[in-house]
Amino acid sequence: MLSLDEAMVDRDGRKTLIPVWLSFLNLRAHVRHKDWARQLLGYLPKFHKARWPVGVSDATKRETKRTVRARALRLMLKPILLLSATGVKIELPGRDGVWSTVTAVPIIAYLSVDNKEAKALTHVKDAYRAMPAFCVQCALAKARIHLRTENLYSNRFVPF
Amino acid sequence: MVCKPGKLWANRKTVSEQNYHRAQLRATRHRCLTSTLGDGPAEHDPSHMIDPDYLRVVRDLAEAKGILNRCAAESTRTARLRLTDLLGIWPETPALMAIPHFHPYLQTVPDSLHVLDGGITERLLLYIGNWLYSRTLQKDDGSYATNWAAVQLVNVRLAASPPQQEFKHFGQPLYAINDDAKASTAHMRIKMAANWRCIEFEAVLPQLAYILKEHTEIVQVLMAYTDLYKTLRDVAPLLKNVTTAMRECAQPHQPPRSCSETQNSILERKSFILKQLFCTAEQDRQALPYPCSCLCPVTKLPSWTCCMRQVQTILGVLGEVGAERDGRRGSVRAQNARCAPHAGVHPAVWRRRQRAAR
Repeated sequence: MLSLDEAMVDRDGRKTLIPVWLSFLNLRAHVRHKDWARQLLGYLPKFHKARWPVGVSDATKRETKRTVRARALRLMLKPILLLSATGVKIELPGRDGVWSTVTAVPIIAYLSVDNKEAKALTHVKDAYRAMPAFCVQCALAKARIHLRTENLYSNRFVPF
Repeated sequence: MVCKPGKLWANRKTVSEQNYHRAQLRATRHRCLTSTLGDGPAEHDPSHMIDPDYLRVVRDLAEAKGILNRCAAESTRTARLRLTDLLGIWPETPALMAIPHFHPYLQTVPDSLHVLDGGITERLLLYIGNWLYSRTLQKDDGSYATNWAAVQLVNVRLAASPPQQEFKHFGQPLYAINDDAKASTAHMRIKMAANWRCIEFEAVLPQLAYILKEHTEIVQVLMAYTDLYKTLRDVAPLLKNVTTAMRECAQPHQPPRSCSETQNSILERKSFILKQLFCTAEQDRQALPYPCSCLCPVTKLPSWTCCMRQVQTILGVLGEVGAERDGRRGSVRAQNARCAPHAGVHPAVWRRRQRAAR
């Protein structure tokens, strides 16, 4: 199982990292959550919002972020992808307690993430910042009513 | 960026049968495959978004791969966006597509922290905070507080609550005023003051029933949600809890005197309560563009009045809530009602208060 979430590395939340963890789903949950039971594959890149070149559009920034993030994750998963095609010989104890060498084929069964990272990794368009996230149209309608800026959203479905 | 419906909208027949086809006919831009298009004159029905029985459509992986491959051959970004807008995805191929035997749209699962605690629980607290911002709350000294003062009263009462195990935020504010002028969040004047851990959400939920004691309807909603929340938290982690939940589901449910006859098991009823919960909160905001029709079909009352067990609990607790200042809050319990989880006061704190009072 892959799991990742953005985590703070300082006290005031100004510095964050996105670690990618790999853990075995055939472990019980209380064991799987131990520090030694999971492996850090790497960190997804983050982008400083003030260090983009001048004149780069928001669409280009988002596209670059998606591309770089996908490449980084592909590099992290490269050994797993290789082993999932060929399998790997490992020594495991059987039910009778006898250790034997078997061929294990790793398969990634789940990607456990929050909504923000899920949309970022699957490249699904997101309306995460809409407060009543149940319905985008309701959120927009509320924003219209509260802000009283009808002309801002007039006659158009504005993406977030 | 506004994507116009192209020819593919008209030729689309693969992934979704009903909802997506309706979206195609209306030529509306939809990112979520759960449609909000209704049949009425308003043509807008958001009930599918909170309906647990509504069958969600998962994106077809083969179709997504095909579209992304076609995007690689396109030269312009507009053409790529127009292709991928069918599935509501971006035209860059995600790295998860390269994993064999892995369906990124199906096997990407949310973790319980963000779904339950940071998700629906935090959203409920934000609803209540923003609802309080538009209401008047009576202070302990008899005066009335409005707007931010009404919200601040929650913070003050929470800070005055006795310390709880594993809960470190009682001395910290729950709500803060939102000074963000962005259009996406400016309509929410109240925000959470800090990010909380799961255990803190679990501890604060039962406390809010006492903190918001004047607003009976909100307290009923909170108690119903707390009951559901506890069940959800218990169901998730261990096999033992799943067994308990299965036994609870199999137990025949005694319907109350009103509209819950259709709810056959406790779990179904809790799902029903959750749906009513949001409708009630939305009803009070009175800023919705659509009318909320969550009425009991028998009594024609708002459906939260039909949650008889929660009503009994709350009425029993509120009947003796005058004991709050004496520190006997944890012992208050309605007759034949379930006690609120973690609602007790530590005996040492109680004795200390008694000594101070003397």
